Amino acid sequence: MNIEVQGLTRGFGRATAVHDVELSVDRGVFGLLGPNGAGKTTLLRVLATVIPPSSGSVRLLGRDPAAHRERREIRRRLGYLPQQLGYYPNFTVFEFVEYFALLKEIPPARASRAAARAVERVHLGDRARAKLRTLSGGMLRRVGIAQAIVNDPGLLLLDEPTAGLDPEQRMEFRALLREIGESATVVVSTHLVEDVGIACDRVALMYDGRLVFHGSPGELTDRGHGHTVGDAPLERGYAAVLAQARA
Amino acid sequence: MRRLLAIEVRHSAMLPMLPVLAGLLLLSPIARHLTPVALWTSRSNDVQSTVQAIGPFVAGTAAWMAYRERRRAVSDLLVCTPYPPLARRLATWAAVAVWAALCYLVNVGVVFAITAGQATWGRPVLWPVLSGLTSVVACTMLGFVAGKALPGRLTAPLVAIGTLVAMAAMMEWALGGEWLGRLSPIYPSIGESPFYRVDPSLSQAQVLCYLGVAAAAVGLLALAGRRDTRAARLRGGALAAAGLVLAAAGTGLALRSPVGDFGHFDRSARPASAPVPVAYTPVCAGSPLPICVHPAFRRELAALEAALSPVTAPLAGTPAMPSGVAQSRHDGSLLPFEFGDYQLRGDTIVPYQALTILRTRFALALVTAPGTGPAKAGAAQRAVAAFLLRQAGVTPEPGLLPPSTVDTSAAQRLAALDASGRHAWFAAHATALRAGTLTLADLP
Amino acid sequence: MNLPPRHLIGLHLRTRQTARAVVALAATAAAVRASQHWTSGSGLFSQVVLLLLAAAAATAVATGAHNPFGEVERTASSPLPALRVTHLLTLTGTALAATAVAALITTYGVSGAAMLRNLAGFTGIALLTAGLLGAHLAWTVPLGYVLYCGGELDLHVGNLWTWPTRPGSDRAALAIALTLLAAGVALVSLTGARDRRSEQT
Repeated sequence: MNIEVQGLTRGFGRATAVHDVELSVDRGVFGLLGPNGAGKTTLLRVLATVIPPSSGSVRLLGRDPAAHRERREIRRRLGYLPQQLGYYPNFTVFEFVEYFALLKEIPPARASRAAARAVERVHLGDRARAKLRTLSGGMLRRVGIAQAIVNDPGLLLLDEPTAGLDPEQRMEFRALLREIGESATVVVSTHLVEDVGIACDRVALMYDGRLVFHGSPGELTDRGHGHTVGDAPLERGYAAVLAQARA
Repeated sequence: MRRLLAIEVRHSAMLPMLPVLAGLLLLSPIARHLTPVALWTSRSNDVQSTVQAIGPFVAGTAAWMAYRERRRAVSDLLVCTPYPPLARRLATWAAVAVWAALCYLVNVGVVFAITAGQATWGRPVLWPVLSGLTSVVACTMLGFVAGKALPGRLTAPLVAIGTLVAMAAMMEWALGGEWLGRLSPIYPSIGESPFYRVDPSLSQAQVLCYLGVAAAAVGLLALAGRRDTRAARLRGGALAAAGLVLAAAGTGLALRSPVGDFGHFDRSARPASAPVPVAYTPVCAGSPLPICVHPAFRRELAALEAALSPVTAPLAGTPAMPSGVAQSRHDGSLLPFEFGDYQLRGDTIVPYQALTILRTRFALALVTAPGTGPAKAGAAQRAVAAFLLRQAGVTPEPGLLPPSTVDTSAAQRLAALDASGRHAWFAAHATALRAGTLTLADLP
Repeated sequence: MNLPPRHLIGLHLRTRQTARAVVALAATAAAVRASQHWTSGSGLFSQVVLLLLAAAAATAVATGAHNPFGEVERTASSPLPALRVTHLLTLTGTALAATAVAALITTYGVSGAAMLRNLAGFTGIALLTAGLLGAHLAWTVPLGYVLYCGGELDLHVGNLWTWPTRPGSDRAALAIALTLLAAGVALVSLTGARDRRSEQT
């Protein structure tokens, strides 16, 4: 298992953002759904080793992120795209990705090639020398994806990766996810239910910091039988689970 | 690290600052009035003093760069990378330091290139240059630490302004006699007199102090890094302690250095130490008044002759005429001119300012006994000095020869004499005049 | 131009972190007061320190001109120039008042009138810098100008290029300072601080 989480809780002051989450995820694409404020981003940040859990245990890629050395090893094989992507406007696309390649301790001799490959995989090869401040929001998002995959991660965490992408780019992105998911664990946090339905093998639904559903997209669809809210089967399943959680 | 540093150097906020710094250096007093006498020692001090322009800007820029991760909201992205956070921060700082050092060294190169074309003796003195360089690096590190500690848009300007205030304040202490103030990066760290060997002790002390401060700042940066390992933080603490020790050692050395008072040797404070004379062969020119100077001032001979010979014209052929003017050593003096026969304490020959002072002092020295200051000249002596100056077309310097103290009618009477009459009068009265025994009534 | 509603003005001042700037201005005035021991003479150090403190206050005013919203604010229909003028005059007035109090309490090597004039002029320079280069660089030209004036003082050169070093009664210097202030306020009120996309975070 690339992700093993038991009893994970994370609070901020008096508020608990993630409450007693249990999760085991192996290779493949794992979708994380939930309304705003459900705790998806906080969970992702814990998995990305940005913040530690308040309690519970986490093992990533077979290692314990609480130990410094193991955390460093995890980070060498981790890719993370946060919801709000910060960037250095004067960097070019290539420089930004190469910068993160170096920070991920890809040997300098390979970093340039890895960066170039990552930029190509997100179809920004023709804009490799463009400064980030000249890019549209969708292109910036793709740059963010490029830096997340530059080290061919074993664990890839993506928070709202398709925000700003046009439909064609979303299709290409889903194909990329499936390709990466063949050899790594990909966790995608998104509001777009159809992305989850198409790209993900497993899906979890969070509400109010808790995991209220964990199964396949088909199982989520089944939960929506007879439910009237939602325009598509998966949406109805999503709405049904949420309604049950709120009740 | 090298590749990372290369990326940081290409994108450092120092790049847009370079034209600003270049403009400031071009407009600085040093650039616009490179000391007229091209002494390698004074030029070396000059380049060190350019830190007052470079230091504040690089400190402010470093503070700005330290705040970059937060300002650009990339903290989460950076935190989840395995690269040691301290090394990453140091790469950002190092990029600023590289550009700052380059700016400073280019400035040094330009000034030294100009000096090479002007100087007639000696060679570059590198200790003040090194002192300036280490102070620039220390400024970047202190600015970076301040920017990390207090991230915000106001930090960079406050750091920049605070740096300049600190430098100026230390200089003011030094002017007030506080020895600690000599650690200011803009305090001249070597004596400028070409007559004596350069004592680099204060420069060395400054270098040690700045290196110590920079090391302590790096240590503090490591110590405060929440996401660094405990071992890294402990090493940082050790480095901070070592830096403080180094800075203290530098401070101690500065206190013991005999170099003070703007390059003078303070023999009253350091009686055991004395400047070591440097042998030289004077260069001479001029007739009928031969003027001999240290070879470092060779280029000033013509100006000196043009300035002083006319003053002595009425004295030619009389006992009052000096046999020559020879520049002599003066203990620890910064001043480029001390005339051996006449103990002048003039200023640098800067035509726009001090030539009049020099000529006035010279005229007074011609009519007084050696060692007599301008204030002690008698009425007759003042009148004769005023005459000598006026006939040379020089208006006396009011601070030395106030018009109210000069009996202009006596001076005019001397002027009214014909050449042979004046010659005879000086021949008869030269000795008494210098001895100060003549009164106004004794003047023609 | 109609005045914006008071509530909007209050919100606008908050977005510009006016309270923080006021604290910075108060701290600068306190520094002026605290520096009295060193700035009571008319020597080079005394004058340069007072100029630096004026530049610091000016920077605090101009840095606040930074627009944290970028395009979003520019496309709103509210009268931005009126809001910006209110913000700038609030801060400039605060700075002048604080400096006046500091100047009244004790004497410095430079007259109170000169200190106020220099503050006004440096604020204008800082605002012009913010308008042309960006609020984050508002400190650079004022600081460089202080260095230039210090150099000229050292060389005993005094002309209108170094108007801050002239006596408080000098009308030409006052006219220059007020012109700079007016130009700076006008520029930043009309266009805001320069705001490339790179400065929106």
